[in-house]
Amino acid sequence: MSGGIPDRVPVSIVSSAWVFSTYGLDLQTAYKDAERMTEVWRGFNRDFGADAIVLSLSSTVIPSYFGTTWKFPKSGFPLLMEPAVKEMSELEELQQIDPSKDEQLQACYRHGTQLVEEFGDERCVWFMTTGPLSNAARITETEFMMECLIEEPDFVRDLFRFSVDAWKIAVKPILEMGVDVVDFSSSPGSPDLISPRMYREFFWEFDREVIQWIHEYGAKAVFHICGNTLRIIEDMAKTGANGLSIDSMLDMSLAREAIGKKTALVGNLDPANILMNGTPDDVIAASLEAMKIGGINGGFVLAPGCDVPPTCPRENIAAMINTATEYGGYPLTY
Amino acid sequence: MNQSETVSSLVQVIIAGNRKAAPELAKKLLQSGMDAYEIVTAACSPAMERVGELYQEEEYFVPEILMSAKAFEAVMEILKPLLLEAQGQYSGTVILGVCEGDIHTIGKNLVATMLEAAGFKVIDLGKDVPVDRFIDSAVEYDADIIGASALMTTSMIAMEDIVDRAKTKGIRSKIMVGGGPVTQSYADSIGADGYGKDAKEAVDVAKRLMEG
Ligand code: B12
Repeated sequence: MSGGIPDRVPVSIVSSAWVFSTYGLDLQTAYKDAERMTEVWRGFNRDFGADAIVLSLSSTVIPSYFGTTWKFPKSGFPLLMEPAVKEMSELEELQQIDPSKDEQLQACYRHGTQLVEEFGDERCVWFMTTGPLSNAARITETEFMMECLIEEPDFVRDLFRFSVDAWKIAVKPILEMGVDVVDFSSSPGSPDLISPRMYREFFWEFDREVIQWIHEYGAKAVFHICGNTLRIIEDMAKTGANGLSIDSMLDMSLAREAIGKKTALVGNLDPANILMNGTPDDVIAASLEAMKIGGINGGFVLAPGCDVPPTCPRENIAAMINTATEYGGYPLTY
Repeated sequence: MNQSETVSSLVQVIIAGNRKAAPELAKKLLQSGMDAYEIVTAACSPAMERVGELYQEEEYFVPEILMSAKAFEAVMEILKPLLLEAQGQYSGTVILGVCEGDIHTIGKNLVATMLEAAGFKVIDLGKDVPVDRFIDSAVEYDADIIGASALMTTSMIAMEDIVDRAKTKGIRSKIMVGGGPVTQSYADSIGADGYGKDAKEAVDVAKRLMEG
């Protein structure tokens, strides 16, 4: 991601939920237990040996701090029950976040420090979390936020401002411990939800601000927007991000054409159809193809396109990682 | 503005998602003597159809369809009591909900409003609805139809359980399904009675299920 061509294509799982559930951690309590999270990554590193060790902060933590409530289904994604901000006036009443009062943030900091100490020299410590604008849709609620994008643009800007400030406060200690990569999402900016015009008008500026801020600490910035992002991929690259994490429905050769060589691409194996429901052979084929298209001259990290479902088989993750280590050597010759 | 001009403005403001102007125009049409049902067929349905097209053409995105749906619903608030009055009775009762683990309500809401516009009594169970709640509510309201919506491949599988549970319980409600990943062939494979690809088809299917 620093521009040169590495020895081979790096590979990263960019999902801690899968790793935790595969190693027997209950997702509801895992994020409070730094020692067990570290132990699990030790296990993952031993068994799978990917290039990145992922430190993550669950998507629910920051919104919950402000009062959002959730339901956790046995499998699948957390469901938002009641948002912290149901009306515009409630935003002003929120007190800015104080990390010392949040158990999960504290656990994340401890876990992060352990990972950096233990793996910092040998592996890339990749911090991954929902970004501030994704959190904004969870501090309010997506539908409400979508309405406000049309009817109350000023409120949306205030909400984004607040959420970016909160995120910086929560993430600062993680940057200070010396993680290598900060990977955040800006999901509601997806062309699946809003127009490219709205992305430029409301989201872009904040995404750029966050990326510049990450750079101030010397870390690399990667950011993710779900869905087919072709129509905003140039804007995404212009934020100055070192890497763009892209979903499986995005045609990577078109993306590469649009953004040139400067920005790395991270992706984009289909989490549901290939990683969860495919065979290891499907995964190998898809990984080879992705490396060929995305990584012909460096600037590519092989990874899932979006969050990996906890039910995805181990063999498939192993197949992804092994394909990069076995066939990903530069120059690609297969 | 004459009546037909007002109708076209109403179509326009629904498409534009103006939830303040839309009900005002509907009131104006009522005052000019147009009946509620005609307002729905001449303005509301074509407007929402156009919104659907704009979404497919990627002119419209979720905020825009949401606002149009709100404008449409604001009109329906005014028309609903009149529709019912004119019809004298509901043409049928539909239990409607989004399957468990799924919170995608936009499509389901459109289906609900269009069914209401067509004279159905809709019991809206909302989102994240467990199989048993569909079944229990169908029994409680003696529903003619259960409508299940799912936007995710992971939540869609509950539809099969709804069909099975309804069968084993021997309830009389017909079952129709729809939403993004659902197809006619999937509906057939789980033994559902009907499938609709959009809100307009949902109404057609519901009417057909009422007949036989
Ligand atoms: C809007 C949206 C959201 C909004 C939902 C807002 C809301 N209140 O509904 C938000 C942002 C909250 C959201 C969240 C998520 N989403 Co979402 N979302 C969408 C999106 C972009 C559009 C869906 C939509 O509203 N379409 C417009 C309506 C009008 O169409 P419709 O629902 O199909 O309904 C029509 C017909 O199907 C039919 N119909 C519908 N129901 C019924 C019922 C009957 C009986 C009948 C007859 C007909 C019928 O009539 C309707 C009107 O014409 C889709 C992608 C897409 N392009 O479809 C993804 C999508 C559905 N989401 C997806 C995902 C993964 C998620 C998340 C899990 C993301 C995450 N990681 O957080 C979350 C959590 C969801 C959860 N647990 O339920 C995936 C699902 C993948 C899968 N597994 O199958 C999709 C397909 C995106 C993707 N390509 O990956 N999402």
